[in-house]
Amino acid sequence: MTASLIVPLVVVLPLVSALFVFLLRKRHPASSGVLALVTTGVVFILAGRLAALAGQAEVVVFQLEGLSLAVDRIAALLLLVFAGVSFTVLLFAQGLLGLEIAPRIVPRYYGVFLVLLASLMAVTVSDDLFSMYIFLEVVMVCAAVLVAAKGDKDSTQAAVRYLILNMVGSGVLLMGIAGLYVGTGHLQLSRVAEALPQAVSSYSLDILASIAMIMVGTAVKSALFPLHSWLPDAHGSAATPSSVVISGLLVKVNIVFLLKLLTQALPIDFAAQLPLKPILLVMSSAAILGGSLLALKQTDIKRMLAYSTAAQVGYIFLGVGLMNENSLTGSVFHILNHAVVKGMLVLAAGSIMKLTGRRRIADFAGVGRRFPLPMVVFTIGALSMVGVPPLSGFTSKWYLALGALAEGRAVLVGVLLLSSLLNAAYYLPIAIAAFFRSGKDIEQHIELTTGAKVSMLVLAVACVLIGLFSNVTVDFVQPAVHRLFLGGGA
Amino acid sequence: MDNLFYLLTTILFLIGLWIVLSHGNLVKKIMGITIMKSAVFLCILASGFVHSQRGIPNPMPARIVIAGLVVTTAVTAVALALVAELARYYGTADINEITRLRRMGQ
Repeated sequence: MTASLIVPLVVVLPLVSALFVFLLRKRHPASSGVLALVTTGVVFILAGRLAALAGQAEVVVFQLEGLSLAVDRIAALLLLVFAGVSFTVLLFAQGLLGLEIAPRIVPRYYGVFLVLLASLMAVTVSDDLFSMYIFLEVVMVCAAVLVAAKGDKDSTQAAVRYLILNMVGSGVLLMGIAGLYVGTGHLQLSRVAEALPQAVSSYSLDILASIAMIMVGTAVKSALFPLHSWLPDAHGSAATPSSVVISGLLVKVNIVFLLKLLTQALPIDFAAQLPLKPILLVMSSAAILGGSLLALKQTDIKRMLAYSTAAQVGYIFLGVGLMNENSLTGSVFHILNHAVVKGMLVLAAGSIMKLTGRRRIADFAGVGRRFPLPMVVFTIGALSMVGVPPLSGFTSKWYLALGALAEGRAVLVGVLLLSSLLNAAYYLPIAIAAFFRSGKDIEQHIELTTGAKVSMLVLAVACVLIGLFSNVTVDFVQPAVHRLFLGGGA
Repeated sequence: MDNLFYLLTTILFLIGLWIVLSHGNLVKKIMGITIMKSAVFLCILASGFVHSQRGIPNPMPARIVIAGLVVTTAVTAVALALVAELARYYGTADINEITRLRRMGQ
């Protein structure tokens, strides 16, 4: 265990930068994008430093008066993912954002983006249930603003739908948190874990109801399958950078909340007594298959990617539901993998939509010959989603399958295989048609900026490297996961 | 007596949820959500009195409730602004009506 000032800095830095963006937006509107990009880059480097510290000392803490923050290896990896994806998205957005939303509000978009990044970081480093709830609310409201930034009928409707459903979800979540607080008298995760066994013996039904409410609230907010209905609208009608934020970061941060609660606040032997496992496994299998089947039916590329996200959320919940070392490693790895890969797919699809003005899947025939770079990136992402071995998607499926076998649930391996086939069925035809069929009258509407090209390439290279050197990530995460199962807590 | 607080706040929470589920008007839905969250905050505040020692209420719940109220107000404000924007496009804030208009538009 070591103390470091970097822990609060990853939260405070984007907030201060957001303040400057808002202050300077009238006088220097052009500087806001650069400022946001540089800040996110610095936050990424700081997160890398934190990951190195966590690699040496397991837990990095920061304590000041009543405030206590803690970063273990899993949290450090998540910080890196959140900052890294935000950086590439902002790099992509530099020249292109003004084409999708009114140029007048571009600086404010960057400001809101930075606040969102700060709250993502805050949820990850904080170890107090109520602060996590508050920052989840900030994430939610910033995301609604990012979706609505486009300002047309569809995106406003999608933002309202997203916000109303998620507000109900967070109301239910808040009731669950209040129940845990009233039952145990604590909000700090480790203290809740200490007080929980005694609280359960006196009010078992209330604690069960609270945990159930937290599960339902998180399931709504992270778009677990039957509760995913807000996702396709918000994902489909938002500007491209907002879509990446939704499926790469926003959905994930709620899962991070659940993961922290389940692994740090509920003692592992207590969690095993709850009927969580069958519920989570059934819901996640339904999400994996249902999301994939619905994705197969879509004609609009961005809505297809949204349903694919709903399926990938199922993978992460599957690992959480299995509750063993391999499956949790798989879950954490899949959060990283999906953030990178979905980022690639959405950026590639978004740039093709901007380049050609087409968004129907059927119209993608032949675009690969005309615009090779985005389509090659898209294909690498698609192959990773299917789980072709050298790419990153394979590793997460491998660990999830190992986790399922360790529980003796071979059916789940079947679900994973079937979903890989379904992924292939909806991703590969797009890539094949784009390269091997000829398209008619493909016009070029805009020029891609260098930043956009670089951001897509960076993500593609990251996807290949994460896949090739997956043991680096896994070795980094596994001790932390192992510690959770020793009962030491974090 | 102690449980009465929790019973009443739960009933208030359910009233809020009922409003969200039964009304089509988005502004009313937001009101319902506000009632739900107020019920939770009341529940947390009440816990400070129920578990109080020597008649002095625990200050911790009041602190977190204030933080919670601030963020809830901000979220509600953004939600209302977005609903107002939507109502400007469709001339109504009723979600069933908006869905009908959208389906006709397609």
